[in-house]
Formats: sequence, C-alpha cells, structure tokens
Amino acid sequence: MPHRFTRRDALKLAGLGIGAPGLLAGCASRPEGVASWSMWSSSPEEAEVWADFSTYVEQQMRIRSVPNLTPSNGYPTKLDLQLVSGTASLVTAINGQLLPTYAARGALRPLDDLIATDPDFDAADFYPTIRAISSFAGRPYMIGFDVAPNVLYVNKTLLAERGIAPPSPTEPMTWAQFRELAIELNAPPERYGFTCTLEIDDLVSWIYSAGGNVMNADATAGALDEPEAMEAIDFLVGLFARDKITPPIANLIPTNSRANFMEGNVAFMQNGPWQVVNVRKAEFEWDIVPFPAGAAGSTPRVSGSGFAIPAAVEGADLELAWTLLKTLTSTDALNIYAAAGRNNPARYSAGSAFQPPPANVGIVQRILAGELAGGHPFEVTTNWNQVKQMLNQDLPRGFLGQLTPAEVVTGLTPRLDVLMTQHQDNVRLAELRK
Amino acid sequence: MTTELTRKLVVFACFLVTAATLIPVVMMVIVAFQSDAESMAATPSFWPESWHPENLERAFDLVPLGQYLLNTVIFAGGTTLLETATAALAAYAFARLEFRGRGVLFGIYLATLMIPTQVTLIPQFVLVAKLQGIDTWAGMIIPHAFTALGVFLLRQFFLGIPRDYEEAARIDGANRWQAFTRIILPLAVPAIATLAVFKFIGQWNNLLWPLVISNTDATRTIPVGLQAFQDTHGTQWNLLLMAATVTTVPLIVIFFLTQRWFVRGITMSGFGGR
Amino acid sequence: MNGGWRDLEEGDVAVQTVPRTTSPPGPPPPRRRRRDGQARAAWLFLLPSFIGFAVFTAGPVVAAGVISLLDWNLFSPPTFAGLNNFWRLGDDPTFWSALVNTAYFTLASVPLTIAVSLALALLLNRGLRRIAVFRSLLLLPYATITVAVAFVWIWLYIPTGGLVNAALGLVGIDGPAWLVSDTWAMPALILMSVWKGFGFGMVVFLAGLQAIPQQLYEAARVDGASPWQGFRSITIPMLSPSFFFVIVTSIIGSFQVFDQALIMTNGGPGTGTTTLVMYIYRTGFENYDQGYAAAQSLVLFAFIAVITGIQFLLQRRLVHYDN
Repeated sequence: MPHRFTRRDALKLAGLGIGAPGLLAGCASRPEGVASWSMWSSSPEEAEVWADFSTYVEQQMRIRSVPNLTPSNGYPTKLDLQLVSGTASLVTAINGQLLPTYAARGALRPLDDLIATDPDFDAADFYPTIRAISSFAGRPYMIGFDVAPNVLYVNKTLLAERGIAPPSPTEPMTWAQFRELAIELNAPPERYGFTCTLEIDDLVSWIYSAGGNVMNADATAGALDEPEAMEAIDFLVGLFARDKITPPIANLIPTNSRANFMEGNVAFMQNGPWQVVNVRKAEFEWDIVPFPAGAAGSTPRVSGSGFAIPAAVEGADLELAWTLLKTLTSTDALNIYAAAGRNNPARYSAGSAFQPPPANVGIVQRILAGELAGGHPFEVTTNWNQVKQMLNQDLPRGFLGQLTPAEVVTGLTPRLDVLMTQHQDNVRLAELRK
Repeated sequence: MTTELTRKLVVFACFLVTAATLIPVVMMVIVAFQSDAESMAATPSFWPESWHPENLERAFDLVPLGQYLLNTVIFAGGTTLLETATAALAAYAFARLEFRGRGVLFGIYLATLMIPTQVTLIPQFVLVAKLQGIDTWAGMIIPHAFTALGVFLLRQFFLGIPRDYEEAARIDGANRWQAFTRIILPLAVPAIATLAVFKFIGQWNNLLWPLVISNTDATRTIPVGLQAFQDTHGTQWNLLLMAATVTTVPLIVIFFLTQRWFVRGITMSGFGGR
Repeated sequence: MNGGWRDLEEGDVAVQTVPRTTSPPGPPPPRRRRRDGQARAAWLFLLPSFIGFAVFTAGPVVAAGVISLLDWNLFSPPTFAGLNNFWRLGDDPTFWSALVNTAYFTLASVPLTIAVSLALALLLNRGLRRIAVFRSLLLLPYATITVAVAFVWIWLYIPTGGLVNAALGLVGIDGPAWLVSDTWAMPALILMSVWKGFGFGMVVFLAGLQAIPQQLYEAARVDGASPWQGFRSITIPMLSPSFFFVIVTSIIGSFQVFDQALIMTNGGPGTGTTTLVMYIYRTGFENYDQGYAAAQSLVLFAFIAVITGIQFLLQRRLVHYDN
C-alpha cells in the first residue's frame, strides 16, 4: 500500500519549514494573550485534527492555543450564546451556508480592511468558489478552510456484477446517460439505481446544472418556477416518483441516503466528498465521478466553511485574531487538514485531501481548480434557515409522489417570494448598520 | 385461585410486559454489538451477522467515557442534592406555614414550569457568563438546581401528612425545626426518593445545558460525549448505542438498589408490621 | 403480612400510615397568635430555594417576558416593538397549526401514558423480591437517553422491514408509512412518547399505592366487597392526589414536547408534527427572531396556565384527601 501522507508528516514538514525562520523571528517580542478559536468537532478523529492544528498554532504564534470544540449539532446554538454573552473566541468557524445569516445581523467583522493592509495575505490563493461563499454584500467576512463540490459515488462492485463499465472518471455523464444507466441497474427490491436526500441541499446541484437557481439574479424573488429550475426538479423527482429507481423512503432523516448506499445495493449516490471518510468503510468497491452534466454543464453546488472574527473583537485582540485567522488558514495548516482526508482545503497551494485508493477521489481538487467538470458556489440568503426549512417541508411531497413537481413549486412559490423579500429587508438593514 | 397461582401469574405477566416493553432497548443493545458497516446501514438487522464485543472497548477508547461518567455523576448528583434539599425546606413552608403571599409565590413557582427552557436559555447563559461561571461546576450545577418541580412534588406530599403528628410533637415540646426533621422528613422519604430519581435521571440525560456551559473534557457530561459519535456527516451507531447502553446501566442499578426507600415508610408503632 | 392492626381511630398516632403523595390544601384552623412566628419561620425555610429560584429560574423568565416586547436578532441592539410580536401571531398559520399539533399530542399521549403507568404500578405493587427487578427494568425507557432510543424507534417504524409493521403484518394488518405519512406520523410520535414516558407516572403511582393502608382493603374484604369494588372505592380515591400531580406535570410536559419530534420527524411531513416548542426554538435560534419566540412562549404559557388553573379548581371537588 502506498505511503499515505499523514498528518504527522505534514506537521513535521510544517515544523521544519517554520522552525528555522521562526527561531529568528522569535527574537522579536513574544505576543501576549491567548489564541482562542472555536470549531465544530464531534468524532475523536476530528478532535485529533484540531489538536494538530492547535499544536501548529502554538508553534507558529508562540502563544497558547485554546481550541473551543463543540459537537457539530450544538455548534450554532453555542456560538450564538457565546456571541450574545461576549464569551466567544477570537476566531470562530462558520458554515458557509450561515455566513450571510451571521454577517447581515452584525455578528461578524468584515475583513476587507485587514486584508487590504496586509501584504502577507494571499487572497488569490483561495479558490474562487470559497471566496464567493465567504462574502456578503461584496465584503469578505470569513477566510475559507475547506470547500468541495458535490460528486457522484459509484458502487463499482454492483456495476461489475452486471457487466457494466463504470462511467468516465473525468467526463461527466449527461443526465440522459445517467438516468439510463440507473434504470438499467435498478431491480427493486434487490437493487436500486440512485439515492440522495429529499432536501434542497441535494436538489440544488441539479438546479444549478440545469442553469437555474433557487432565487433570481438580484435575490428579490424565488426562481424555482423558472423553466430551468423546473426541468431539474422534474428530473430528480421523476427519478423517485416515476422511474422509481430509488430505495423506498422510510423517513425524512437526511443521513439515510448514505446509509442506503452503504448497504451495498444502490448503484449511485449523490453526496459531498466529505463522506469519503465514511464510505471507505464500505464492504464493496466504489469510486467517485463528476456530477452528471445538465444543460449548463456539470455545475453541482460547491460548499465550504471558514473562520471568521466576531464583531466585538477590537484593539490588540483584533491584531491577535487576524494573525490567528491567517495561521489557521495558512497553507501549512491546511496541509494538516488535507492529510486528515476529511475534506478539501480551500487553497490552491494546499495538498489534496483525497488520496487513492480508490483511484478517482483526487478529482475533487481538480474540479475545484477548474481542470475538469465544474461547480457553482452555493448561493444562500440571510434567512437561509427559514428558506431551507420551508423548502424541506414541501419538497418531500414531490419525492413521495403525493404531488407533481409543478404543484409542489406552485404551492411554495408565494412563501418563497415572501422569504426573499424578508432577505432583502435584512440586506437593507445591514447596509444601514454599516 | 390460590395465592401461589396468583403469584406465579403476576410474575408471568410482569415478565411478558417487561419483555414487550424492552424490545426497543434490546434492539439498541443488539445494534451496539454490530460491525461498523452493518450498523450504518439503513435498516439494521435484528440479529447481527457478526458479533463485536470489542465495541465496548472501542467506545471507551475513542471517548473518555470514564471521565464523562464521573462528570455526569457530579452534575446530576449535585443538582439533585441541591434541589432536593432546598425544595424540601421550601415545600414545608408552602405546605405548613402561613404567610402573606403564599399562594401568589407558589403560583409563581408553578408558572416557571410552563415556560420552555429554550426561551430561558439565553438569559440564563448570559447571566452565568456575567458571573464568570462558564465552564465551571458551579455554573453548570447551580442554575439547574432550583426548578419548581421539586417544590411542587414535595409540597403536595407534605399536604397529605396529617397535621396531628406535628401537633403531637409540639405538645411534647419539639420546635418547628425538630418537627420538620424528626416527623415530616422521615415520612417523606418515598417522595424525596421519587424526586431524587426524576431529577437525577433528568439531569443525567440533559444535553443542551452541559453542551453550552462546558468547554473542555474536564466538565463534559455523557450526553455531550455521545455527540462524539455523531458528526455532521453521519453517526457511528454501534458505538453510540454501546456508549448509551453502558451509561444507562448505572441508573437502573442505582434505582434497583434503592428500591426499599420507595416502599412503605418507617413504622412508628410498636406493633411490628413490615 | 401486616400483623395485628388495631382499627383506625381519629388522631391515632400509633397507627402506621404512610402519607399519600399529594393532597390539596384544606382551610387551616385560625391560629392568629402564631401567625407572625409562622411568617418568620416560613421565610427562613424558603430562603435557600427562593434565592436560587429568583436568580436562576424566575429571573430568566422575566427576561424572556421583556424580550417579547423587543425586536431582537441576537447580534444587533434590540429595538422596542411593543405588542407587535403578539399581533403577528394572528397572521401566522404555522403557529396555530403547531398549537393544534401540540394539543393533539397532549390529548392523546397524556391519558395513554397515565393509563399505562397506572396499570403497571398496580401490577408491580407487591413486595416480592423479583418484582423489584421488573420495576427497575421497566424504568429503562424513561432512563435511556432520548437520542439513542429515538433512532431505534425510527428503525422500528421503517415501513418495509421495521418491527412495527412486521408485528402488524403477523395479524394481517398492512402497516402505514408511519414517519412519512400525514396521518400516522403524529401517532407514531405519540406511541414512542408513551413508551418513553410511562416510567414517570409508574414510580409516582407506586409511591402513592404504597401509601394506602392495607387494612382498608382487608376491612373491605371482610365486608364482602369484590376486588373491583375495592379498587373503585379505595384505590381510586386514595390515589387521586397522585393522579392530580401526574396529570398536571404530564400536561405541562407534553405541551413542551421537543426532542423526539425534532429527531424523528423534524416537524414533518409538511408541518404535521411541528410542535409549539419546536417552532419557538426555530423562531429564536434558527430564524434569529428572539422577540417573536418569546411572545410565542408567553402565549404557550397562557394556555398551560389556564389548563392548570382549571385542574386546580377541579381538584377541590374531585381529589379525595383524608386528614
């Protein structure tokens, strides 16, 4: 088995690389304070990664690093409480989906002035998609640390059993090709063609690939009733309700899709590459291929997360926070992240997170770099929790076959338009607050 | 029907009922012993293909369950002791002593039960933060040791104790405190034990408060620790359920061992009896 | 079992009667002379509880009340909104459907849970050693952490392959789609909640049953009454104070149902299982509309307070106490 570039290796390299100049730099005055930062972390594997980050921070900044780790389910609630009570860390991790939510309400500090006056910070080293996700109203509010597009997982064992060649590792299938293949492999109840969640998070990749969007260009109204979005909704819902190539829907729990795939009797799964670390436990051979290409190409949603600075941080703390932020998102730190194999780092210069086996997992980095297929940054509103909640309430009716896609969209469009109006209100209020 | 046959029937009925009721719990234990792949499947099978007793060790290895167990005992025990003690005193006042505003005050106590904790979470947290109580035992235990449930339960119970006992004690020259400690409390042992059970179990399983108050493993409790098996991208069912099983067993054992405090109270007469 | 008990006589201190768990207050005989002393003693007894209660329990509740008059998104300074948050409720169909869902849940689960608790308490109310084992085992559903059992129940409810439909299939019933069905999602939640919650009432009723003096039953038997008559005229009245406590706390608790609904159905399908507290939580923590969430919880409080008040009034007539 080829030697895997482990976290330890990255740490050693980082240490060596920094150690020498660090010793020289250490002759300058030792910085004061404590580098506190918040991050979500549930499993022990994640905790190890953040422990390594912590070590790196202490090596780099030569002050104590205090990571404030919270299980992912409770992270937003705890962050909210800490921000309200003024006990938040200097730097806090933010999920890209919630960035406009926090930024518009004044919880985070815009970073454009810090970036502009800092010659050491290389903003261009970050993928354009994560830079888009990190901005609100034209200003950056977070610096990305991971980013990834949705991909298609393939159960190669299942395909091989039917004597079917796996799809191209670099050329995305067309929707028609994908559907044909999935139908061919579908033989309920022993085998199913495809699985994904019933939520907007997965549907939106199809909408983007068809050239549509959840909202119109200036985010003033919903756009799910536009022909492009309808084509995507019709297609995906059709896979469930008409073609019936998906496992039966037992409940609305999102993790079912991966659970179904792991059973070994589903040919394709749509998911993020962050599941690679779990899917590696599968007892069959699998790989990933680019997301199927629609009318606008293969442009699934690209999501990411980053670190931000709470609005209340100022003065000497601000300097410390900015240094900490740069450290946590530096190439060496992100190499540690990459070595953990959990998700793709947000920088061009950082290593790839996904090393073979299987052979094709490395395409994630290539997709981000624009070398093949493509992606569309996940566009969300300042009230995305509400939009998501509303959409996820209504969409399952289509997937369950209770309503046609057109009926589902007609039913939710008025409410979506109201939410978009409220989003614009939030944007306006944020402008006034500046 | 002979008493013997009735007894056997009762035991049999108990057995049947318990077996049926515990099916979900049994399933939980079964999945706890499954392999990773099997437990992550959409429909875990009722009988595992392979049996993995090492999951027990793995659960303890991955997460400092021993530390969390201790912390949970401190948290649940601390809140239970504090609430039981203060509630017993306050309940006596509400049940036995007259003072102006008694009804209104009791109403206020009751009213706080009707406001969901999700809404008082922010004020409570901000208050604890201002008092520098974040990530401290005091900050974790004290805010949750003064709910109205204990006062309500014990007040109802004390009301049911005939006043004649205290009258008799008073006639014998005891003061109010002695009447409370020597008459009321011993009679109230089943109620106090009941309150202690509910409070202990409730705080043992309390997820939200320990999650937001404790920042390090030194104060983390089990429910927060169980989240370790549940990251954003999936859950390790076998280990989670193994940890959940292991950490529920102490509760049941404690309840079993303290059963005698729930049955008939201390006899006061010289006639023997139980 | 009981030895030779004398007959009950009024004011008989020597008889061992363990008090019942609850009883409403009767009018106390006037003791004007000792009233001042009582008030002072009362405040001494109350102080430890009251200090903690006022600061950590009542204080946050008052704060929530204040927040309901504000427009606050947690991160920006709040603005005064007066009663605006309350008027908004009129236009909010989700709030009312959440209220209806919660009322449905309460009306179904509270009687069922109490019935099961009582039945089991009656079954287990014996001194046999083995019964203690069953009593402890039956507390497992109540004691087990909600997250773990909620997911086990999700698996039990899987339409094809889950145990519930398998069991129904054995008696020839074609089970519904449970958690994705509009009609059956709430019953699914109710069943799970009854299973999870009966332990509470069971323990309280057991304590109450233990408090009923055995000689009442013996006297009834001697008088020729059947076990059923004994149950009706002794057990039920003597247990009514426990009933009262369990009903009040169960209703208060079930109006605030949250955890299992969030995990098992996330409020769906549609808004079919969205409960009030779930909606309040979402409003406050996901939609960052703190004032509105606080207003909703005050309305919820009003509902529960009225219902509890009615129960307190009824108990004067229906709850038997013996003093």
